[in-house]
Amino acid sequence: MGKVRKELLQGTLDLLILKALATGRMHGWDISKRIQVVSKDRLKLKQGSLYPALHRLEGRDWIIAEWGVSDAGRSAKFYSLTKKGKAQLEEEKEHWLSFAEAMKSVLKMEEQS
Amino acid sequence: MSVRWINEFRNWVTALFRKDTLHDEFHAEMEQHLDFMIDDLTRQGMSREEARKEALKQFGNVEFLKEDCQASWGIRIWDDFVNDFRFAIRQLFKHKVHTAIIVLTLAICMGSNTTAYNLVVKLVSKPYDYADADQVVLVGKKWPKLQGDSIGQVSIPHYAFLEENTESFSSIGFVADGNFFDLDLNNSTRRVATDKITAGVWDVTGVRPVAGRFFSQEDVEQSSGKVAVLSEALWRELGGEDAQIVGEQLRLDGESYQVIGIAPESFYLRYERADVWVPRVFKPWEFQPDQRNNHSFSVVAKLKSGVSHDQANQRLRSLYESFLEIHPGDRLEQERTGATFGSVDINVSLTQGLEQIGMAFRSIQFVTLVVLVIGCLNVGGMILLKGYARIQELAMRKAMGASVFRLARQVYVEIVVYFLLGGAFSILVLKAAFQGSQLVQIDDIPWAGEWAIDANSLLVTAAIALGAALLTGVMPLVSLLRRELMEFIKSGNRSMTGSKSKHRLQSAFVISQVSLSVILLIMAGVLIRNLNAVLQKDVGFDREGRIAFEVPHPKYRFGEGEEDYRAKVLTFQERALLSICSIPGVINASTTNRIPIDVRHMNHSSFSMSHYEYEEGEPEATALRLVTRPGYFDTVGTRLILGRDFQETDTHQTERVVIISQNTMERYYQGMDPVGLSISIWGKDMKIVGVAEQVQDKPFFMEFDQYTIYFPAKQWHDLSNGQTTFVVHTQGDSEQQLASIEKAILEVDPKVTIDSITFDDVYKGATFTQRLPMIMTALFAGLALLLSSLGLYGLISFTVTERTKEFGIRMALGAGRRNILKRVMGGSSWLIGCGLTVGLVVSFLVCSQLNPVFSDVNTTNPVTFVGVIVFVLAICLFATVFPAHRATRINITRTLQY
Repeated sequence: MGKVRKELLQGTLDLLILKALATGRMHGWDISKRIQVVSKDRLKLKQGSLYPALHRLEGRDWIIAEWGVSDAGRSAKFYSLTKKGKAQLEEEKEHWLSFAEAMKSVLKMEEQS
Repeated sequence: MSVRWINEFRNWVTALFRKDTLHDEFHAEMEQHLDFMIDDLTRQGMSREEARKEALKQFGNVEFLKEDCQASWGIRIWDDFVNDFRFAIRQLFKHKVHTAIIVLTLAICMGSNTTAYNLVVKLVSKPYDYADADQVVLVGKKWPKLQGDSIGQVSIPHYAFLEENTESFSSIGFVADGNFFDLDLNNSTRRVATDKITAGVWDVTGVRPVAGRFFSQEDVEQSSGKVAVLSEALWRELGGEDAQIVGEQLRLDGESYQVIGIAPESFYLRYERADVWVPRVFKPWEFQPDQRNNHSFSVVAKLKSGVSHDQANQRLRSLYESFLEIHPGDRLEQERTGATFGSVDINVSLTQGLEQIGMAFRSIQFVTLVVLVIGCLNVGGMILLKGYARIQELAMRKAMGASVFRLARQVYVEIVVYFLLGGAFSILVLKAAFQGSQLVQIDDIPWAGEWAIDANSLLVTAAIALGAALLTGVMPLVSLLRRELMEFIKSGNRSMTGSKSKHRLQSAFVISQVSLSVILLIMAGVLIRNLNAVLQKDVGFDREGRIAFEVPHPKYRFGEGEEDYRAKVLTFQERALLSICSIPGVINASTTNRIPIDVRHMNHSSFSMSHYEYEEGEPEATALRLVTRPGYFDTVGTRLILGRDFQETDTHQTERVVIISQNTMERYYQGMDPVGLSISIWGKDMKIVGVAEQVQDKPFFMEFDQYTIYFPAKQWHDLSNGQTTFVVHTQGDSEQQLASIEKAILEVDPKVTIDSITFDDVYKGATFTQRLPMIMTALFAGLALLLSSLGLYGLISFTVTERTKEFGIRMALGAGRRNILKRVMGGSSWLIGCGLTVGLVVSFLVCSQLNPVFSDVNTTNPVTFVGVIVFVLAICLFATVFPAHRATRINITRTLQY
């Protein structure tokens, strides 16, 4: 079962990153912050685990990275969604929602019976 | 999916070149993230020191992260690759016997196949390497009713007619080959082989000069034909570039020629390599209609682009019809022989009509093919066994998440490493083969040319073997995919019995190895016996102590015509013979116009007999012409069956006499005594005075279908081919005799050139089509045997090693050494028996089909078969005994510890 959970989480993290980046370009720290804030602290990820996911998404051409200067005046690597990434986000979102919907109805039915 | 692959591939490639940058950027990015975190934490009231600690804790292990990220960068794939490579090298050293067998097999396979391929290409399929050689054709006259499709030579009127009507050809050239010139080197004379050609030949062949230029039609006209092109070899001999020969004058046969260019080493036109090319200048009388029966010249031409060989031949046929309209007298010949013009691909022309050469080399190809198959079996078998031996490990790794791709890659990296090693060693084999080829005197074959490794054939061989290896390498993985992993993992003791499929495959390998070696050995045996049978034939003359000295008598010194012949040539011959006979150890000496069994100087004439009427449509008999002096038959050791030898009194003033060959008598004089009867040649009647024992006049590779007629040297001035061949029967050291005879001839005339050769060497040259395939077949059969015994040894010893644990248990439970030995031997001898049977049945079937082809021996002779069975059994025993012996020497406790 461990493997399934891992895959599920991996997919979820990708979706979270894509969603976070939908609002504009951000660096790694901002992304983690944003996920934390939006999920109201319920999804707290280990800071570092963000990066393998970011690099993977970059490898797939869903996001693009460039070095820039942050508001604080530090140089940082900024990520933003590509066209492909946007399409992917829509698809994943659809997929996730319908999956969650299905899960929800199944689980509810279980409780009723 | 495909886009993803393209992305991944791009990532791998960028990763390979940007590895350091990617690492730096990664660390910078992590630093930056940590800084943000630290800032954030200090804002929450932590000290900078504490904040850093907390940040690192929350962030996780940077090195682990880097590992993870690397997968996306594509770096992992290179690191994995290096690991696989290391693993392969370790495996190589771990299983030394295994590695040695695979590498040796590959080296021998690639090396020998490349050698054989080179040989066949160079000698049979592509002897000419002109630019656009496939468009170059040999044009000539053919006589389909007499000689099938083979293209014969033409006369000068024929050539003139062809040259005027060259619609199908972009260029056409005339070649008169096999001439010799005396090259004056101030204090000595050197004989140079000369081709007389027209300027068109340079266009046809597309050859480029090494220095200077080739002659054009204008050059020929302006210089009255006194220009010469030298071969690179002669050029170097005369001093090469340093001597500034181009532009200088050379004296050839007493006339001055200007050297205008140098032709490359690789260039040659017909059977022999020329030293010099000079223009062939035609005299007006040579175009006279009566010259059209002098078929002594070759024509080469280049097809116009877009014109096929068939179209060209069609056009040539209709051209001959037009030719017949001008010369209606030739119609009769055409009706009788089907004579017409024809052409053939230049690369086919050389061996056309020499069926034996083609067959001999095809047999070499066949044998090397078998070597290749055995090689593939070896490599495939060893890799397969190894794969199955590791199947449990592979299953375990797959269960732990390794992808099949990853496992396959590891197997393939290992295979590739074997091939790299095998390739490296094959260079050594090739080197040995090259040296070997010098031993069997490949260089003596007139058109052999230089040796070069053909990269294509090396690659093709490697590709075939690699295909076999990759195919077998993947088989254990296919088993993994097909069945449940647990099955493999649970069957931890599978090495005790071996899996069924593995066992089946292994048996198949042993059986095919054995049967292939049997087939190969029997075929090789039959071939060698057949070739050897030819060599055992009586040639009708003795070789021992016989030496020939070919001395040309060029016109510029010996003149031409009957008067000059008697005054100069005959006088020279008589004085030289006297001088030779006075040397101690010389038993006998005489002269002829050609050396028996030699490939050169073959002139034929048709003849008719006083008592015999040719039937309607029966071709006239033709005979090889030999011009000899009295004592020739004694000198070469040929008997006269009837009548007498020529005598000194047979001169131009007495009746014309001839001696005929045994086969002439047997064919046309059944039950008669031909001596005293007359035969007619060129419309002249001559009396038969003797019949000579049958002599193998021509090399074995030529069709032997003609008769021989001997003429006395004193009666004919124009049959000598422009040279005298002294034949001498000597005693003692032939090297020494050869030198003193040459000296004796030079004492008589210091300006002649002498080409001397022992009859033994002539015989070797004439039998190369027998000897070469014999040596090659024996060599390759030996290699194949070596390979299959290596393979058998490898297969059996691998199995024994695998069963070590089982034997350990058996011995621990009380099984004796003898019992174990029986087990090992028993299992393999059954397989060997099967292989032997299959091999014998197949080769018996093949051999009984071959009987008509190899008419000289009985191909299903039991001696070959029994010999091969004994031989193969011995090899198998050898391959089994060692591993079996090792199996009984195992240390029980140590074996069972693991």
